[in-house]
Amino acid sequence: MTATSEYSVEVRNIRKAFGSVDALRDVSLYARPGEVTAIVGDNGAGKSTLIKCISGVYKADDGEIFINGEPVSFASPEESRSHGIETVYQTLGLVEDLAIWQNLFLNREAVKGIGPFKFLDKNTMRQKSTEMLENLDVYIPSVKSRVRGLSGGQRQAVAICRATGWGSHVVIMDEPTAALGVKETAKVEALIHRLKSQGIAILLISHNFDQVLRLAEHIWVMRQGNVMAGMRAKDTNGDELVALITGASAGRK
Amino acid sequence: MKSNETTSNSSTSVEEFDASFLAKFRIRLKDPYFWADWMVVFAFLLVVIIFGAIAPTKFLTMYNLNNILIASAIPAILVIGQTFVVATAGIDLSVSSVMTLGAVTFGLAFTNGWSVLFACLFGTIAGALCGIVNGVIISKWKINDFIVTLGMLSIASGIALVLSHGSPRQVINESLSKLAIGAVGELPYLMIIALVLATIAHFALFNTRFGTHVFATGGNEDSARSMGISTVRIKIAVYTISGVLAGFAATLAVSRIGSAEPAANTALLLNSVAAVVLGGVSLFGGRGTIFGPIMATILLQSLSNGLTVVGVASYYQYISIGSVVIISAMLVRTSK
Amino acid sequence: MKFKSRILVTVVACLSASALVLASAPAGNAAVKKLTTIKIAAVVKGLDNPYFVSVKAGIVDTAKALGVKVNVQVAPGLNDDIGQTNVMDALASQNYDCYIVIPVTGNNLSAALGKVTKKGKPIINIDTPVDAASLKAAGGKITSFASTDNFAAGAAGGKAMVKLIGSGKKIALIAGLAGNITSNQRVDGFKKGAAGSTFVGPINADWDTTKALDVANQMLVANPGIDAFFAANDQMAQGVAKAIAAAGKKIPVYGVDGILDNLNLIKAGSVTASISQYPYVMGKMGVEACIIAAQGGKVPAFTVTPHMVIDKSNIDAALKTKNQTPPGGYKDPYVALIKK
Repeated sequence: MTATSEYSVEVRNIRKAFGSVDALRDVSLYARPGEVTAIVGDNGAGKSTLIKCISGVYKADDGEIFINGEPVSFASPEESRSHGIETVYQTLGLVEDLAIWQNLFLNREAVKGIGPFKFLDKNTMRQKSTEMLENLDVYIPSVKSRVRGLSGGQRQAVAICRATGWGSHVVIMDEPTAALGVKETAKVEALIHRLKSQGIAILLISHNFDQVLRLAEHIWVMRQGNVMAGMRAKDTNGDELVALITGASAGRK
Repeated sequence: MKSNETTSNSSTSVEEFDASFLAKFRIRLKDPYFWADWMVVFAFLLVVIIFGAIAPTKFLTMYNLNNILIASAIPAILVIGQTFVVATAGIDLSVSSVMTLGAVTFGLAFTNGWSVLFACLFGTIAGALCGIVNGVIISKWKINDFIVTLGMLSIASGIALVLSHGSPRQVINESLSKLAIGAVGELPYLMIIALVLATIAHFALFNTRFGTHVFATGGNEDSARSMGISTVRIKIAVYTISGVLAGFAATLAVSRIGSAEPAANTALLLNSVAAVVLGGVSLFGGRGTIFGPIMATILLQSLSNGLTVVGVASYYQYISIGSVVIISAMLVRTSK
Repeated sequence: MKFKSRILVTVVACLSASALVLASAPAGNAAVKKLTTIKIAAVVKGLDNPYFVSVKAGIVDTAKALGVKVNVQVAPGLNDDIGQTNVMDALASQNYDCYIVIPVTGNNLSAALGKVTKKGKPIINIDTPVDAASLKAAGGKITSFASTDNFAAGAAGGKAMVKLIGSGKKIALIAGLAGNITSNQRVDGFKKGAAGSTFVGPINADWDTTKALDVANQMLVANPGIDAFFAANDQMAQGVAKAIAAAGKKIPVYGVDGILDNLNLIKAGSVTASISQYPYVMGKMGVEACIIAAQGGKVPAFTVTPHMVIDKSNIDAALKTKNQTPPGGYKDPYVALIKK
């Protein structure tokens, strides 16, 4: 985690259009290591498009992305992942009928064998999975359990665990607690605190202002494909965020 | 069944899991997947017990067992391919007519002086081509699998008729007929071939990255894709496997019936779909075994054999086999 | 309706016959087997086709009348060659005194029949011949073969039609499944019998009524001058009759087989004639030949079962016997050889 820049991830002047619709007009923002950086905004403000550009799902029409100060360009999610950027989508990206360990190692399976005959190294994967999950505060029955039998919080924990278990230093989370109850939300927030303490930069998308103010160090407000404002969380409050999001306030950069 | 080696829905930790065999077994019994997977074995035992009680001297002979195993071999090979496809939440309705095309191309090659081995290879390649076409159209152009393979069902049988001019080609070859009726002990050669293929398929599904990706594609295609799995490539692969196996099974079919027949045999298609479902493979994808469908194939053939040797009139056989398929499918469902 | 009740009768008869098979004790070793101790297995094809239902009725009725036991089985699926092979395999391993077979294809039963011959049991082949080369390769031997002469039946139909419409007319031909031997023989025979006529087709309608209806429609549109139709089986003839009626025409249509449905249509006038083939007699002869062979008697190696053109002139006589046997009787070389 030796950053050559102050920012783990920085985007400059990103533009992205779908046909005649400008989803991102001119977006510049950054996230520091060991901090939660929240992106807030109304539906259609461009948050999802932005994170998809960072995670390599979309390719921006224009603009630059820097990882630890280094300019990068992603043609696919794998390339983004290989730069240490992991994304936990709202849908989590888990396969319910596979076991937890299979999900944790999905498309990263450990194999052993010679030449073209490579077989899964199940023991290694199960053992490593158990280790990965041990760090969580969330109770997980056994790595052999199928994801189908897990609660929403447990699933979120598995998905976050997968995102952070591969030496990643930027984790993007899209509404990680939207589908969770109070208790489970608290657990996931605790997990986010823990990641932060490990020096990981967390990009958080959330509609929940209380949560944003509780978790985030830095907040970016987006509206209609533009970044309206960016400020330290301690310098703002819910009312100001609402005003910025709805456009009642012009914003400050 | 074998997937339970790796997965369990019990709420026991890993340490406890290794406590004792008995505890392990108890956990297994609580897993609904266990019942779905073993249902077919119980159904098979039930069939054996019933026919064994009605007609012990007719049904429970080694000779008759041999008959059942021979009869199961070709449908078993087709069902392996179908299992791969269904595991990705697809379906291959073209298996029987692809097999017919494989048989016709085999016959064409053989009667033109090719060796059995090369003729078999030729038939297998024909099957593979059908599978690739199915897979590419379904995955790349995102056309419904039902429609594409139904179309291929028609196309493959049409090509078979064109190539054969509609008439069967007799294939008389000593090694082929030995293959059809020979056995090691009581295990027919044909079944040995099927079991070898089943073992390879089992390893591919449960012990390779490919197998995991097949289940991931079927279980949740979006998730699989978001993890960087090329679901397109996986789908092309499973339809190709199905085509290859159907093309290969054609050689065994030719060895059994002594000619390359251009008429499609739809009974094999129905069998392959029924056996996959009875074998506990979810039609919605993501879950399944090789053992289950193979066992279900043997179950269906035992039933058919038992009804025949006991002397139940054919009309009633249709009814009883259909009922068993539906009832078993219901049991599999409720046990989930 | 009559036809449906026939199926029911057949099923009941077959069930009772199977029940007898179940209850039967192992056969005794008398010098000449008593009829009541003889057990016959029959493997026929395609009970979706009334023709084979009729064969089966002939087998079951005759076995009942003579007091022998019979187990009649078909392939589990339609046109299911491998399925029929499985059924034959299963029965070959059982202790029957004689086997009656109609193979789905020429070759699919050969290997199993080899096993039967090796056990020293006689095989009576009816209708579709078992291919000689593949049977020889499997070490099998057919004791007796009884079948219709499809070429001769076709020829008889051709002659009768020319007699009806005159020579030099335009006749449309509708064949069964592409490449099917029976279909080819019937069509070729018909062409010979009706030599001097112009032929349209043959077009394949896969033995199917609906397909024949469509095919006949297309032929009528393409060739308005068609004077008559010949269909290679009765079910297709029925389809053709519908097409002709729909086109508002009145031209003769001939079928082959003499199934009851079609005879009713001949009586009603929508189908002109059918070259009747008496599958019932074929089934009957199969059982008779089986009994002779099981009793150790000498069976004629080959018998041609009768055919007859059924039209307005003899339709009433034919309907009286439900067309199970030809009006005016027929030659049965077997019946006298059975030792009662």
